Amino acid sequence: MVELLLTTTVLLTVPLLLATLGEIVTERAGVLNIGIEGVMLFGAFAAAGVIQLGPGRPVAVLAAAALGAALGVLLAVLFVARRVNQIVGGVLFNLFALGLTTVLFDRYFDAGATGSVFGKLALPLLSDLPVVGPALFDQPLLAYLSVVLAGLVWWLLTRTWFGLHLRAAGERPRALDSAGVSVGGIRTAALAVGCALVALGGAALVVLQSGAFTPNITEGRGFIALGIVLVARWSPWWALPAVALFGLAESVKFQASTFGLESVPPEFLAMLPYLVAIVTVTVGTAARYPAALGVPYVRE
Amino acid sequence: MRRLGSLADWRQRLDWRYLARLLASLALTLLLVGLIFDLAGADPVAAFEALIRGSLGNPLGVEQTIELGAILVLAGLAVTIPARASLWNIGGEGQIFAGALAAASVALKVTGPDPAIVMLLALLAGLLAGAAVAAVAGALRALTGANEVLTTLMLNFVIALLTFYAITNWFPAAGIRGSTPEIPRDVELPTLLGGDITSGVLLALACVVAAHVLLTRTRLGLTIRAVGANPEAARHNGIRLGSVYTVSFAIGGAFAGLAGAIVVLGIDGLLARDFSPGYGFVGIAVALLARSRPLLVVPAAALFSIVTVGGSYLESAVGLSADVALVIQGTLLLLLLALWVIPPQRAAGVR
Amino acid sequence: MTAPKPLTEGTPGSNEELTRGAAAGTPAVEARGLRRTFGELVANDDVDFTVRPGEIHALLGENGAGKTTLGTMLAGLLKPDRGEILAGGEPVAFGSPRDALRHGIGMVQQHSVLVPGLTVAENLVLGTESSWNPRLRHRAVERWAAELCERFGAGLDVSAPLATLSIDEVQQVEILRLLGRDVRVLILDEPTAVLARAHAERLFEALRGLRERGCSVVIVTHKLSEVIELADRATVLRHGRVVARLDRPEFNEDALASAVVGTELAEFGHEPAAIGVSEDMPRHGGAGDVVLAIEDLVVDGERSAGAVDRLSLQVRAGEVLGLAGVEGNGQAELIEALSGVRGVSSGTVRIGDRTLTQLDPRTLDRLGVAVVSSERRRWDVVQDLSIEENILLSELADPASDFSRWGFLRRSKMDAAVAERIKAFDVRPADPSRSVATLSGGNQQRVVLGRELAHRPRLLIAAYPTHGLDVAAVRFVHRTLLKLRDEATAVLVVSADRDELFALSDRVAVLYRGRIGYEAEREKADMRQFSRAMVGLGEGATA
Repeated sequence: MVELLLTTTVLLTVPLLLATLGEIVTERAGVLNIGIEGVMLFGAFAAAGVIQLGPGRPVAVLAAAALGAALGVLLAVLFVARRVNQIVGGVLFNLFALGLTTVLFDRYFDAGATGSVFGKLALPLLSDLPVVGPALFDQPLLAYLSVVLAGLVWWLLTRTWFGLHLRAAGERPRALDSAGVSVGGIRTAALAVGCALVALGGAALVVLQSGAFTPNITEGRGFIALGIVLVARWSPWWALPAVALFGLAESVKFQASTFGLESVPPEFLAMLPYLVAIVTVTVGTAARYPAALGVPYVRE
Repeated sequence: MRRLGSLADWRQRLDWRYLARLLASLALTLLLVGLIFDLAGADPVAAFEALIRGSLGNPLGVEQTIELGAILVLAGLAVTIPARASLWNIGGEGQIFAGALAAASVALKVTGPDPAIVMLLALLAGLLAGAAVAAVAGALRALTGANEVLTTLMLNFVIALLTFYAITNWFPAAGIRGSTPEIPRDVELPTLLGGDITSGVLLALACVVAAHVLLTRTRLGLTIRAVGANPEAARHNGIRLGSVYTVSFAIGGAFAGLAGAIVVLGIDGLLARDFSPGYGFVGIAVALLARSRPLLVVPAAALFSIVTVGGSYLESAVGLSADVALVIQGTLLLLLLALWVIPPQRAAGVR
Repeated sequence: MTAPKPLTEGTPGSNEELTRGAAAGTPAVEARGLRRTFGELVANDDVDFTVRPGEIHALLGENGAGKTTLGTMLAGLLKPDRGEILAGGEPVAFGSPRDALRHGIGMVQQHSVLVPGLTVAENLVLGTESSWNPRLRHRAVERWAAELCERFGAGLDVSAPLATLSIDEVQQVEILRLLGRDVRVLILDEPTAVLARAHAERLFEALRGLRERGCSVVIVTHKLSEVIELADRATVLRHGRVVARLDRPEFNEDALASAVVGTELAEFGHEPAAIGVSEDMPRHGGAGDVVLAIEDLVVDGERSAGAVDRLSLQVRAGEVLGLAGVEGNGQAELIEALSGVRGVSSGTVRIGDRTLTQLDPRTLDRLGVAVVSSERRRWDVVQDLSIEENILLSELADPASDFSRWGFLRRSKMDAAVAERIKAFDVRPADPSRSVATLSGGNQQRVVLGRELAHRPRLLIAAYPTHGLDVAAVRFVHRTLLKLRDEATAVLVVSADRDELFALSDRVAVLYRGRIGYEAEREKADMRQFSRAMVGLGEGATA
């Protein structure tokens, strides 16, 4: 029971975790990427597309990441170079992404075809632990990798010069500029890295769950990631429990019957993640926003 | 005309560089979209032609274009009013759902009074529901500082889910395909001239006039515009910012709620789960294209409507998914923004 | 490379160039014939300025004298329109602050360029390594930062987040940041503006220490006491020009003060006509009752308490009180408090017979108080609205006014009122539906005047009313102010232009550090005392 719950939780969690990590990188550099939903969709699309073309799943995943990076640069042209309003630009990008992926899906994909998903990799010893063993340590490689990526993002932000400059760009870009570092360059790079991770999350949706793409496969997960970033207070480590919380809410929805929760309407269970996000936003982490979030930088 | 601002002002704004950028955006849009058409396996020229034919070249298409146009007008107004106060209403989707749900509830459950009265009550309920939802986000912002972009985005989903639940549980004998039973004929909005187009269209146009009058001739409209242009000066002149923010959001929500009500009462005749393919979000694009001016919302919404209805026709005509409409709309707006035809506003940030 | 280069003396190719020239007598930094304008305003006009290695050089003057502009040009933040800059004897052209840093010149500005969310060490090393460098070793960085602090005698915890530091500690970090990048000419812009006395002392000690090491310090200031205490040489700027250069042996209060303020009597052969006050304008005979009485007012500023520090002031009906003072002594906070935009910490403001402890725009409006501020144009004119909407804004926004009924604006009433005001204040072009954004600065100011002065106010507060205006507009504003005075309005004018104040005022007062340092009737004003008060040397005034 609990085992199954945990197993599904982990699976549901991986795409969300990757998207959240990507958005953390972007937002800490000062860019609010509402277009995260669209990037995730493109990532899923790319992965499914590559799978259909032949090369294996690992290649598909890498292709998705590469596409994500390219999209990040495109968004940087919009938000950094052209200073387009980040909220509106993001919403429009999502519309564009939904449209394009659906149109191309119609044309190029065999609807109804299901690809195979990633096989699981049991970690020796650890997977033998009772209860948590199979759930946490007998998962596809991508799941372990995503946790490792959380660590990598932390390392990037705190243990590299790029990360230091990135954090300055999000807090007080004027300081970074007067220290002689290009704010636009840093933000562009942050968008590239961040969107690569988000696209990876989209790919995870495909390779971990169904093996195939369906229109609007993301169903708002990108938006949820925006809320999770807030709950996690822009920290990659705190993203892990935050994402787990949301993943749990989602898998409870799927497993409602086993919990005797059939009486609770599925729609209300589905609302949980969003309500949690609203409550968190309200209860207020306003003080911890990267100070320059959402504001295009102009040297005065 | 005096009220549109003097001619001299307009002449100053529309210089040749601006026009050049505008034309470049349009040209690039056609180019990129044509490319995508090609990539998707359709002949671009045939596709564009089918688009126009589908929306304007046949009676059914025209009817759909006009009706969808009305909805998009209201969705655009929902974003326009708060936008004049420098706020972005991203919650249009949820507000539309709330309006649709409220209108359907009244229409299907309230019996007794004259059907015409029920219809009016349903419209009113839709309007109020939309306003209430918007006001919640506004209140959360005013009281706790909760960022309204995120709260309204999340609320969209919450309300949509609530609506889904309501469809299956609140109404007798849920219809097929996840919708309520049909609304009784005499409670529906009357059609125009005995034809097929709902009078909701007139309602939408009336709202445009109302919004225009609100902004240009009322005290409230003036305060909204002042707050949007220069909050410090507004405050200096005794205007209370908090109430302006809340009220403008509520008005926007009312327009969105009305849109939902009209869909239920005039277009679909019932409330279906999937009645809104993202009207709320498209409304943002409409308002943007209309530069937040109520009178310009009509041509902007018309453009979007033509593209959307034409897009749905493309499936049978050239084998393209209807969602290509989103591609066209998104590309056009993004180019207009990128080329500064729509200029970047004062940096507002996330606060 | 895991940590920034350690700070050593005599690193080859470093900015030792600047100090090596000491023997040869080459200045560390030199400016020749610098000119810089901002639109119509000439900030620096043919300025020559030299800084020797191993000296503390004060750049002295009032606000608007051009000292900050000069400093920013030397530090590469701004490009001069004309003239040249030499570093270590070689001509240079700085394209960015980074270029200046490479030549060893750095500036600590009034607005912080540190990141509050980072630690002290992180702030110190920001930008010293390329973003491509993958390894940022915290321990090495902190060690370097700690060494830097120790070398210059700063007792800071380098691993502490910057947000936990006090203001003077933050300033230390600002200076250290530049020293860590091997700066040899340190320019400080009004460094003691936010410092308490004790901390200022510590800063001076540190600056003397830097001088011993062969660094040059340029201290931009308006405080005479600092100059006398600290500087080896002083260059005095007034209205963008160099008016005096003094070496330490020549320092004395009066000489410096008169250089800064320009008190030679010849200066005050003011020409009334040039500023719009005509000879045949009757001088109002005697003032009436007290309209504005401020008592022990305390207003806090953005970063410091007591920007207005127990201020007491009175203005009578039919009189113009001119408030002089170098910007930054509490004028902004006082004006904001008097217009109801900033809260009052303690003290009272009496308007007529109403005593108030807190002010808000609506109440002030009803009491007949009008505020006109040229400095805050952004604050006062709503760019997107039309002339008529601007000129009637507060009335239109007031539900109780005649201009709206049932929420609708009454155009007929508006038309009449607007036409009247446009004529009275000579707004051009006279089309009420034109957007205010298309008007010139002078006409925008007339719109604001039309808004504030349409009903003859009891009290008018005019803050820098002619700043940035052309000659005709200036004349118009002056005439309007005097006309109001003649109609028994109490007028408080705050201005940085001494000539303007002396031409307009019946009484003058000097604001220094949030208090009145000197007050007198214009005709009886003692210019020596006045100038001394301006720079903080008044009798009984604290320096």
